[in-house]
Amino acid sequence: MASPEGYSYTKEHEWAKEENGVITVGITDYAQNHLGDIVYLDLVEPGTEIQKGKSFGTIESVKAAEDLYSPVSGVVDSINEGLKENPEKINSDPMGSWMLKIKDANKDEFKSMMNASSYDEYLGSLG
Amino acid sequence: MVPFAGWEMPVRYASIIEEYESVRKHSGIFDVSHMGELAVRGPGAKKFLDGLTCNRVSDLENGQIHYNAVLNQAGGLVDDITIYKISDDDYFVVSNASNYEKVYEYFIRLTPGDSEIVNESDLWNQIALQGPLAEKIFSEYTGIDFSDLNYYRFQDYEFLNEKIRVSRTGYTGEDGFEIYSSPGAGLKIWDGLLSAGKSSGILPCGLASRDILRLESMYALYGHELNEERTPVESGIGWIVKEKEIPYPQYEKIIEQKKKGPDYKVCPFILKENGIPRENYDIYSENGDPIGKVLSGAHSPTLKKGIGTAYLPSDYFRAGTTVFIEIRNKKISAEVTKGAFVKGTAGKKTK
Repeated sequence: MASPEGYSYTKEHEWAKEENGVITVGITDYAQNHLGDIVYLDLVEPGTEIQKGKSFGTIESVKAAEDLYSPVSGVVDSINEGLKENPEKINSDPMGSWMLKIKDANKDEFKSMMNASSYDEYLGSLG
Repeated sequence: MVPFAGWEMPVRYASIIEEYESVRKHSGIFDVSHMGELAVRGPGAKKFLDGLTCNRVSDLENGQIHYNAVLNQAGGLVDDITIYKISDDDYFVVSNASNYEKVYEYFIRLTPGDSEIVNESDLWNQIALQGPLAEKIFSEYTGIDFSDLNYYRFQDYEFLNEKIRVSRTGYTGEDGFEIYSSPGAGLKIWDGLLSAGKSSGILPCGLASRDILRLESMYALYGHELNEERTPVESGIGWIVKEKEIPYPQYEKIIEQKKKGPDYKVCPFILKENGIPRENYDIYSENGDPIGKVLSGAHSPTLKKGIGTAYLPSDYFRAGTTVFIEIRNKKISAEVTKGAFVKGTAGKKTK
């Protein structure tokens, strides 16, 4: 299944979408499928300065715990508190399950992310 | 698929939690053909088994099963097993995949002349049908009435033109059956149960959901709670340690340990905060001393908490005692508990 257009992607399987200068971040369908049943989501607090490629939280499934990596540097504007209460929603609707919004984001880093077709090509190369 | 004691085993068929829910709420089936089956026969069979295991084989009635442990000469576990009594001189022993060759060799080495051990593992396929709707689905599929087959009892039935052996046992805490047949019939039974149970939501289940179900029920797993070093009392299965006329290895030491209480024991615990304890995570006391490691750990879908087992010193046996599990560099508080985390329908059909 092709990844949705209009989003940017990382090799660590995060998606990002820009709206009015704020970047919204979540994880892809590939990521949720590999994790399996998600039971916990831990996110940094709003106001935290985050760096591209550094952890902004952890996600834990029945099988394993993984770090979440920020696709861009910036400041955490808000986090999805509701998703922390019901993290299983990430399994059923990964693209609709945003985790955090980043303000003052590094625009060059955002531009260097993969588009949907490049990400799908990358997924293909993972076999 | 992962290699499991030489078998390719599915960890999950679909969602681990969906598989889990199917067993707790209606039914699920497990391919457990990897289990080993040994026949112990002869006039000396009963005495032989009693001399190597801590539960009392001489108490078994024909058609009855019990949980038991084969002890090495130091009193540790060679394996945990179930023994099916067919008659006074014929027993069917079911052993773990990773251990049945070890059990077989141990038995062969010590068999007296008046009994024989046969490794029947290649002859038997085993399917576990588990869940509150297990009896309904199994009866609908086979046309056989299993309502008289009580918990920890077994019977042989004619089905698919062969003899199948059915026991009311399992490893999930739910009511259900373990079905032994030829490998060929096993494939048919697997497909047949999936069709018969379709409208009831039956799911094929893998090792991962099985592990959560057994841990919630506080059923020990060899290689985790059980090993060659720990006695049955230390392993938390002291309820199968019995006084006997025929002593088993380290008999006096183990009986004494049961009476006085061991210095260390496998204890269950539940996390008080979010997180999942996983195997080998370190455990600390309130003042920061290392006191053990996680033996088994999982997320309990029923309790929505992390649960696990640990081998702890006697100061920590009491339910309610606080310990700390280190999860990714954070110490998460947990409470020692007692008995099963979740009580399913297993044993509730006994008349």
